[in-house]
Amino acid sequence: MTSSNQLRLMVYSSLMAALVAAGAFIAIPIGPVPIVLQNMFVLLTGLLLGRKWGLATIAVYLLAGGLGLPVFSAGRGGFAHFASPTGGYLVAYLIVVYLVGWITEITQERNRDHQTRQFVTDIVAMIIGSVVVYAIGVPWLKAVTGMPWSKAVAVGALPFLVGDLVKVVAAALIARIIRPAIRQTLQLSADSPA
Amino acid sequence: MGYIKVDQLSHHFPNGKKVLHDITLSIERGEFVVIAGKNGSGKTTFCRHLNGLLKPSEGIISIDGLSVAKDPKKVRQKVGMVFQNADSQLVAETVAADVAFGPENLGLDHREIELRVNQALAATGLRKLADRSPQLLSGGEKRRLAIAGILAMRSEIFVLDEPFSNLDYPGSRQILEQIIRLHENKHTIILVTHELEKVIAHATRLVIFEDGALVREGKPSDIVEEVEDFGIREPCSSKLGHGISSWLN
Amino acid sequence: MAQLTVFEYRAGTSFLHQQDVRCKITSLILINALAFNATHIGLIVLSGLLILMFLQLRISILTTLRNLRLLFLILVFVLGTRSIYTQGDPLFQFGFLVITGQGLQSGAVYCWRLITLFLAGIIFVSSTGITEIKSGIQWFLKPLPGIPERKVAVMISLMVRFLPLVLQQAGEISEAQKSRGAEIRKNPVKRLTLFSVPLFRRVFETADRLVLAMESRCFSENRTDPQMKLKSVDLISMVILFVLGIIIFTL
Repeated sequence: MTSSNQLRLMVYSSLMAALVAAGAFIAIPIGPVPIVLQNMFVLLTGLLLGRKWGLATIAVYLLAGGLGLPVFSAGRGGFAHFASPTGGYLVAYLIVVYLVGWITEITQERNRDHQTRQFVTDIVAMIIGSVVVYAIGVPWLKAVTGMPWSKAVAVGALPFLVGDLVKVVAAALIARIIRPAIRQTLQLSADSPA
Repeated sequence: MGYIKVDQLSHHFPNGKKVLHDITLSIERGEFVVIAGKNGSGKTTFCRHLNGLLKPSEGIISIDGLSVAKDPKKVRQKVGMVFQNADSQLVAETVAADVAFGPENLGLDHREIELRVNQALAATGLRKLADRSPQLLSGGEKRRLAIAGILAMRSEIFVLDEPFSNLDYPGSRQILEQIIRLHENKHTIILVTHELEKVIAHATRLVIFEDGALVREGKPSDIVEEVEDFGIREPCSSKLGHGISSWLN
Repeated sequence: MAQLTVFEYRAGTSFLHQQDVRCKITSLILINALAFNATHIGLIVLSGLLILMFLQLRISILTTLRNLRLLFLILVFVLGTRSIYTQGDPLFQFGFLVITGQGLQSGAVYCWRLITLFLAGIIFVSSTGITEIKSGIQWFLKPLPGIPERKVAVMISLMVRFLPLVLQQAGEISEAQKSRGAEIRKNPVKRLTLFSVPLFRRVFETADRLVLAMESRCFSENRTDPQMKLKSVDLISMVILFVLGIIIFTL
């Protein structure tokens, strides 16, 4: 029965939203620079929950944060985050999670039982997603700070490219491990009583 | 008659493994039943059947005449569950909002919800913490909050799965006192544990599970001396030949 | 592990505390729109209004400053880049960096707008409880088609409730791995995977237990809606704010 699965997906989505929020606080020091995990968690949201629930996850996070609930990393202030130089990246998450979730959904049937193919598809999906993040984030940065294009790209994109590539590969590996468990649970709960 | 009637209940996992087989048990209104057994003896699985979170592979459970399989919604209203992990059963951003969650699910009106929330918070001594985040509560307070959430739904039966796990001494005392109060207020208590010490003196019946089967049941004083055969520690006072005495003394 | 900023709602009985949350959200949106579109004089009026509200709430200056630390960095950044990159008459020159008068001005105005936004946010959050905000969001989503507003409200509750738990679990995993020398590992992909896989596992386990707990508490999508009462004071204050808004906008 689907009602039990609907509840499960809703709970997964809410807790993924908590994970995405937590991702802004969690940094893993690798070499001299700490890597912030939020955008990796956003990509994983798309990979694990698909487009509908992925979008719901990010939308709930942004909505609550925008109204000042304690989920944004800089604490209070809510809406002001969108007006700050990095606001564009936040808004871009919505499109990214949808894109990644959508690519996952249309390819998962074909990739079933083909782990390597799934892995490659995931990576391609996330690279497309990451391009979108910068396509929105950098112009936003330019608009707020008045920087010329060259400078905005140098500040808002270039320093993160290597880190992003690392995150994309890591996310694909994580998805490969976590996804089967989620699918199995959803399958099981679909068979059990509501 | 039987207020809670379990008739030849069996449960197997999808992989074919049997976790419960052929359990028959009848519990009267107002009893305080302690279910004991080693880890993996099927206690927790049994509990989940009592309010329809699992579907029996075979057998029937009925509560106050309602079939659990056919009417899980109504049964869940009657049977409240306190899970082993207190942290993952509190759902809302504040203590008061968490207590209100159940009544809101029942679609009650506001005046009724407010009344029930206040009563439940008063009964569990959490009134002062109403606006606190559940995350900031102590272990004992979290469990009491879980109980308050059930009280607000006006459940008659409380099923508590290892309610003392991860609690310090004051926390355990608070919870035990709370459970005794619930029992005095005519609630039926079903408490699952692997350590009898704390609760045995207050139970009206002891049920022992082993490997998914119900192996002993009866008055605590009659069977407490046999429990070590089933991997459960016998309470000290009983071991020393002083019979059963309350852990609270 | 970074510290979680506390939600600094302060219980109180001030005028702002008692206002209906729907009015407060509308006001917040209105003030945000004004902060971005107002002229200089309009901004002065708006800032004056916000400072009055701020004083009325008696929020401690210290906590405010603490909350504004990050804002301060953003402001310096915005002011700096704007002053340098805006074309105009040079004011100062440090080597190849030219600071223009126009740039300094446009940077200062943008910073002012940002401060106004932050101030409005702080006032809103300090005087509105989480449950109220959630109820407000639910009410505003209701007329939108295709959005199950009750579900969204429950999701917001769960997210706010479980964020501290997730952070705590992340902290535990990070410490456990440090104690086993995870920092020695050079491969960043490996590090990220080693940290994230147990974190995701634990979060999804929590989620599965949570599903059971919610089912046992009769979770239903036909839930009671939150109760809100619109008082005449709320309406009057809304009208006043709208009139003020129009004045500020046209100044």
